[in-house]
Amino acid sequence: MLRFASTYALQTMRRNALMTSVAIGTTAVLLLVLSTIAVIVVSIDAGVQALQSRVNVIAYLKDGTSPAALSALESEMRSRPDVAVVTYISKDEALKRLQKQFASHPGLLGAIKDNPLPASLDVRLVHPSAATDVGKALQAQPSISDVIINEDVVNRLVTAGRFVRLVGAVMVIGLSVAVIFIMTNVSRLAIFTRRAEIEVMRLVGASEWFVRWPFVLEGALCGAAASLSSFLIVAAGYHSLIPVLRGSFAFLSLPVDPLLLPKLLLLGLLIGVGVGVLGSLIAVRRFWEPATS
Amino acid sequence: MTTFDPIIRLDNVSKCYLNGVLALQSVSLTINPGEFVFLVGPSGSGKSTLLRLLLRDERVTTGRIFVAGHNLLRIQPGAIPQFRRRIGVVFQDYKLLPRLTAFENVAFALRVHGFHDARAIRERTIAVLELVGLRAQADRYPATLSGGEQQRVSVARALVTGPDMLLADEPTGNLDPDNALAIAELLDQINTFGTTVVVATHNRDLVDKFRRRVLQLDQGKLVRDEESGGYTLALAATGDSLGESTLPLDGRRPLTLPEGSR
Repeated sequence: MLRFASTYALQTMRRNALMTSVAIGTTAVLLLVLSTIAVIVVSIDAGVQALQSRVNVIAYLKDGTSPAALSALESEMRSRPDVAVVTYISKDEALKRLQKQFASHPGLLGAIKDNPLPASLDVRLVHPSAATDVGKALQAQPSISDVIINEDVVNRLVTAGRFVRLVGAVMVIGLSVAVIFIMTNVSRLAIFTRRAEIEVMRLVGASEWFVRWPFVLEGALCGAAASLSSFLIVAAGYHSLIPVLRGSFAFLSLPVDPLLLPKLLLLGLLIGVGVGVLGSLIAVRRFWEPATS
Repeated sequence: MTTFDPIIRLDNVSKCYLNGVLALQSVSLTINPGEFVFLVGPSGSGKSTLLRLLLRDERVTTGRIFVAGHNLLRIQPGAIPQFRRRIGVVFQDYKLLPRLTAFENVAFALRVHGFHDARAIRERTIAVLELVGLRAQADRYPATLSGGEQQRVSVARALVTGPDMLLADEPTGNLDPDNALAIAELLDQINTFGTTVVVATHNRDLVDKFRRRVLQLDQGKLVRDEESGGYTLALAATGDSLGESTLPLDGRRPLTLPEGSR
């Protein structure tokens, strides 16, 4: 039965090339819009996250803090759930970093005799929203002289991250619903033009699944073709755009998910094939039994 | 009458559509295996409804209906396809699948019936196309065939599975007299093989020429059941106007005509 169904489906698609290409084309365009927006949202989100992961709290230690007090403070910080990494930067280390920054002006630092830089703790956070809490906790420590949080930047990044994710999620979900709705209607329309065919099959004594299989296969094939073609376009665009973006926004270093494209392909196939099959099933069901009293 | 169980039996069957139209009223009849029956009557008299009930494409509103051993009131939806495979159907508008060739249209019925062997499908299909005189047109699409040829394909499709019964709804309605006669002769030939044939028709010439059993419907009621009948009742010399007389029904039972029947 499946062999006949696939032969019949392919035959029908070929002999009904116009309707087939309209269905594939519409679906491909819809999926293209959907995946383009998904890629943009994911990329922006990745950029924001990359910046967020750099948000840290710097706590300067008072000179003369004992090693015991230091390690107690370090372990206290590390035990906090909102802290990711705690790095101790000694006075010498701080000076070395400074010297590196001023490498082109060695004379400038030559004037400095004693190391004026305090030792510090560089506290990286799990999420930037914890910055204020962590900062307060550090400030309360007797061995800490000063705490630096770039609150403004942190807050903006947190807000921007939330906003991008929310808008992105709303757009992707909304578009997915629209795509599924439109595609279901496209396949219903395609089958509506062939309701006479279904009637003939029914009256000749075909079982419901005998009728469904060719339509389901056709829906799956059209969906797969549409998602593949839209994927190729998105992938090509992505690969030609990313180097340009990296060049212009090098500081972002965009650590975009390397599996983004495979995931996108999978999602597209899932939506394309899923909706193709679902639409066909619904449509065949609809035309299968006429209203009986 | 024969001693066979009837292949079709209707007991007081009425059909009322959802829109309130009463298409059939208390129709009772039996048709035995191997019979050839013309179903006549004006448009809207209930011929097509009766055929649809026989195919279980519609359900009766009241009464009982048995076809090919199935009680169609009780039949499970899942068993309907299997039931329909015992019946061949021919329509006025042929109802061929437009994207399949004549050969593929006929072979399609075999595939629906579960034939898988390509050789068996090919040979049976070719034999039936030969029988209806379309062997040479096997690879043509319905749109490139004449009406008469399309109807032959449709008859071939109905025939290829070897059904117990063949139902034809106005099979000659779209055909010129020569093609109509050819199709009728084909149906007659099929009947000689033992297949029960029920033909709903308006074609007076054919009914008068073949002189088979005639069931006449008028406004949803069975008003005549005559062996070797003509398109109109031989006794009623006034033609279509049957009057308010009692008529012989199946040679046994008189039947009261509805008032004001055409």
